[in-house]
Amino acid sequence: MILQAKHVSKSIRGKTVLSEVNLRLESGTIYGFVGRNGSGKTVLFRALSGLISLSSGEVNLDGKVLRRDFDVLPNLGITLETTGLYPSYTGVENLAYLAGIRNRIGMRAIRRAIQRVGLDPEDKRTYRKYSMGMKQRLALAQAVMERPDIIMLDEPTNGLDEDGVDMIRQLILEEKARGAMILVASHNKEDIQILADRVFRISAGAVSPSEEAAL
Amino acid sequence: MYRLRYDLLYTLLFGILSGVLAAVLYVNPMCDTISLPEMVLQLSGSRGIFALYGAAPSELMAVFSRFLPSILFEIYAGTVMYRSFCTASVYVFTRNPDRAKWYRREVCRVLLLSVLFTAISLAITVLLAAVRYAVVLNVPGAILLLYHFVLYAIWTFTVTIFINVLSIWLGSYNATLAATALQALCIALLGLVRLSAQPVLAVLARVNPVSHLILGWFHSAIPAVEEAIPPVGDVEFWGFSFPVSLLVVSVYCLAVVLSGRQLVLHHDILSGNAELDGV
Repeated sequence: MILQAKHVSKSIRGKTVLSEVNLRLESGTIYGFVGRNGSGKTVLFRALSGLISLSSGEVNLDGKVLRRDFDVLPNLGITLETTGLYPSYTGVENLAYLAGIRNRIGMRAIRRAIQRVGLDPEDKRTYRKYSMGMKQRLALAQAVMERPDIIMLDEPTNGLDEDGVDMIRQLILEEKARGAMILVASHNKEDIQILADRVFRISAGAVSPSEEAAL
Repeated sequence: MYRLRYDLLYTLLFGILSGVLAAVLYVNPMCDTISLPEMVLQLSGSRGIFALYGAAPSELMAVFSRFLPSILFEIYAGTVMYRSFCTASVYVFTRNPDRAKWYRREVCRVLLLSVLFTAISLAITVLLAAVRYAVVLNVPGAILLLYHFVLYAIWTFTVTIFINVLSIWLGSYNATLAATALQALCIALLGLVRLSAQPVLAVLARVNPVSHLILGWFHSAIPAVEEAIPPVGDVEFWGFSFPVSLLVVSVYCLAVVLSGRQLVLHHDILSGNAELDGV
């Protein structure tokens, strides 16, 4: 599976937030994106996934053009830094609601995904009572629960304790081993060094290969 | 499924509330007997022979209060579609590779709820009226009841979609306020009927969708129905009838649904939570 961005630019209210982005990404690889807050990491993920339209350029997946052949990337798992889940639902209910949209997995897979991120599927607390770290873990669980081909993770270890960080890094590596294409945006250099096969730097909406050697 | 269950439950509650209010406040016969046509005319904002004629503010207020239960339902159902944009929009829309299909499904859901609300409300009103008074059922009454049901269901559906769609653009608070203000304006414009001799006002009054919900202003090609609707002064030349009003209300409905489709298809999901980002 090959995801390509060709001359992708995006302007919002006259301000360029992505500028001439060119990428070629393949399955079974982890791509790290580093950059300051506001550099365009999240907007890049939104553009690559199809959540926003492009001002110019195109994104294609195996030759099929995003927003022409499909509205969003098919079989995508994503977490974005500022996205919440339904506050009045428990963790299982949140994931069951979202899983119901594609209707590909059952309760067993949902519970398994929750366990993989270190949460308890029997926890009856609603999402609004979750700590920051628990919310982050649940967001990751929803991103991987349906075994997506492409996974985009924006600051995946934010708000997690040391054990949580290790657990999530392990989960990301397991998803890579399964063959998923993984994009990780992080300001945490250690995350990128440990996880990424290739690293890109984003600055003022422009993406360039980073000199930082990835392992 | 959880959400549909909740939506159906709330629709049932709003329908019952609306039906009870309409039965108690608007079905008021002079004696203990009321005919079905008279009851339907009262429910559709026509009080007796001179329905709203004369732009009496108290009558306009009465019509607005008659619409109030529907407005409450519309505010509730105005989040059915919008809540997918409001919370977890990223997770919802990355799972919907075809937004047009998603929109069609949501529109059908709102249509189902609007039809149910109108049906439940009417059923409760008729039942309660039958408990309180002797209701004389007849064929013209049944036809008028059907007209009322169809027109009000379409209008409720239209406003509900309008609130949902406008919320995506303006946020739910502003959208609800705008939709309610617009309906209030349409009700206030009913007063233009009196001034209908002036061409501009006549056009305004005719394109006002709420004018087409007042069954007391209708003419019917069916003699028995025509006979059941008392004549209302100058309104005769307006030519309101069920087919014309159905067309007018349907045009508004179609315009709102199609505009909503365009907005949904092209809306950039820039925020995870349109109301409270990140919560």
